[in-house]
Amino acid sequence: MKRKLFNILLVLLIVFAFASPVFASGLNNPGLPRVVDYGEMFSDSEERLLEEELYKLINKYNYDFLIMTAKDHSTAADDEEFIESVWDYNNFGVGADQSGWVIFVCMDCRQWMHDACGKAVDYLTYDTVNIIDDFMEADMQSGDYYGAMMAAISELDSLFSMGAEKYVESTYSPMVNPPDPTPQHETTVWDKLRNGGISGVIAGIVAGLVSVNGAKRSMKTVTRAETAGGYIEPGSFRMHKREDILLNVHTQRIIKEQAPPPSSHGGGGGGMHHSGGSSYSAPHVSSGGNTHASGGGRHF
Amino acid sequence: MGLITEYKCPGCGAPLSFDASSGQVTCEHCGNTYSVADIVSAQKQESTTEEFDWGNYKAGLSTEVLDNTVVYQCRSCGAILETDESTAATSCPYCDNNIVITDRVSAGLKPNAVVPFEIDKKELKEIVHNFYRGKKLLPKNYFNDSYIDRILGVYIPFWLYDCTVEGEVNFRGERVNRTETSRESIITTYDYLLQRNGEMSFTNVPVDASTKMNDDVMDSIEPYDFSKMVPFEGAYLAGFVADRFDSDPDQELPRVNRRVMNSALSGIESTVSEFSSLREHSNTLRLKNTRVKYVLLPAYIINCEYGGQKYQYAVNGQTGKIVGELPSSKALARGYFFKAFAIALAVFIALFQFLG
Repeated sequence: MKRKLFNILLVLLIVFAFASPVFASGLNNPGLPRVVDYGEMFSDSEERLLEEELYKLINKYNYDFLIMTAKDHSTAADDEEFIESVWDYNNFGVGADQSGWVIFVCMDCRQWMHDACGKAVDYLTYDTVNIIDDFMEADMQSGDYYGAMMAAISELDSLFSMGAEKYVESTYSPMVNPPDPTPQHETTVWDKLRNGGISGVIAGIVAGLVSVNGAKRSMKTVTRAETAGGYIEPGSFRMHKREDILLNVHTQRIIKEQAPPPSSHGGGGGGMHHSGGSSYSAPHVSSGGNTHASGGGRHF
Repeated sequence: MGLITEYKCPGCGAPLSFDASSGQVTCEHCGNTYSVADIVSAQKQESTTEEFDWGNYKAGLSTEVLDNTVVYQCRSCGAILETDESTAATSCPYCDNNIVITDRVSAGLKPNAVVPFEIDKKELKEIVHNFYRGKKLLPKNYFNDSYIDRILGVYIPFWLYDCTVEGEVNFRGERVNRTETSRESIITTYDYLLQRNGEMSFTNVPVDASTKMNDDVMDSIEPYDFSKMVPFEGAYLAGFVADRFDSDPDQELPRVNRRVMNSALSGIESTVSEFSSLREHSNTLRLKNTRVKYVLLPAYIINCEYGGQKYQYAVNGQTGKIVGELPSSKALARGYFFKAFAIALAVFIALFQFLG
């Protein structure tokens, strides 16, 4: 009997242990995974670890957090719409306004973006996603996608704990994040001699070769005559016909990548085609009726 | 409307049709319209005239022979030199070896003209000294003034070619216009056929007629002032020797063709402007008014030997321009290298001490 009771308690403990983040979060749809890896970017263990970190954020801030990857990609506008549809119709998020944050990565086009819904929209600004993307970029480009997502989760933690304004201030203020002092090595006379000597030897060889070659060049003043310009009779050059015929016109149009202008509906662009910096789509109402904002969108 | 299958649109490459009503050729693919003459020009093969036909250009050459001259022949290089009876030539200006008077060689053709010497031995010494000045690798004492005292000025045989180049040169050019809007960059490329037809005349293009002279050295001692050229008289040989041509004018045509063609194309191309890229498409350049003269041009030939190698340089006997290649002393070159090396090394060490 005791043994049977122990087994029941153990099962309950295990269930609560795994389910506790879900119960604590107030997620609208806790049964869904929070790392949806259709792009096959993560190993099983990485997926598990990322999901654990996401649940820590979910429990800490009572917002939903999702990492979604995909292999296929169509256009920036479609991506934004796609993410919002997935979010809205799968009932991700917390509360009636489905508050939460999703990081979406498209493997085929090697780009990523952020989308926020509900109250989380307040945290998604041009500056915040730019900062988060800065922290992700090196790892994304080197192929350490897990590292990039962990960096993003860490930054999301800072963002949601400070709020958008303080998060941006703290990142850009040198007083808050002073640069790591690098140990100063005192330069000795020997170091100076060595450095000067090495540079001097290189410069000396170059100077010697240049000098000798210059001196050798001055020893030879012979050049073959290739033209007879000096023997053209003055006034003898006459043009009888001078006609320019246009044969063909070819026009090439290159579409510029740009951040969309803010509008009453937000949306537009979404920034997936940006390179070298993040873009931002102002808050807008999705087809599911929720408020979304999106941004980011760097190549990797 | 009949199809002209052998002609293709220069713009898009599609077949062209002749429109009888307008008398023009039209591309049904891209819609461009051309005149027949234009399309014939555009379809010409990308060919370049490289060899001109000089025609009967040697008609003006003298057939008279030199009289009252003494003919010398070099025992070493075989050069045949002529001078007047009062001049004693003892060494060959080309190889510095002894020459002998011979009566077995007949007198040569009388030149059309001569450019007399204007530089004397005194000026020559100064020119040579100035030439040596600043030559840091020149071996010490490899040359002395006594050499100049015994060298003779030599009249080098030259062919002077006259011609008029005329004809058409077609270029293909591209003009690129870039327009920026807030949404896009629009790059428009205009492809042109540029037709130029013109002519220019060349007078007295000199090419030396002596196989013993280095061609590049002779090219380099130009220019001569041909306005001072005078009809040849034997008296101009007094105190000098004259080399006799051993290269036929025909043999030297490739040299003059190259120079004339380059200058003609360059002149015609200068009438084309404001194109971002330009290439010659075809040309039908030809010559007229061709003529050649046989003239003697004054020079001093200085021969030196250093390290088992012979060096030859020449001084323009009219202008004093000196050209050639001087020997370099390896020991001096090494010393010069280490001097520059030591200075650079010292400067860098000092810089690192004071600034580092």
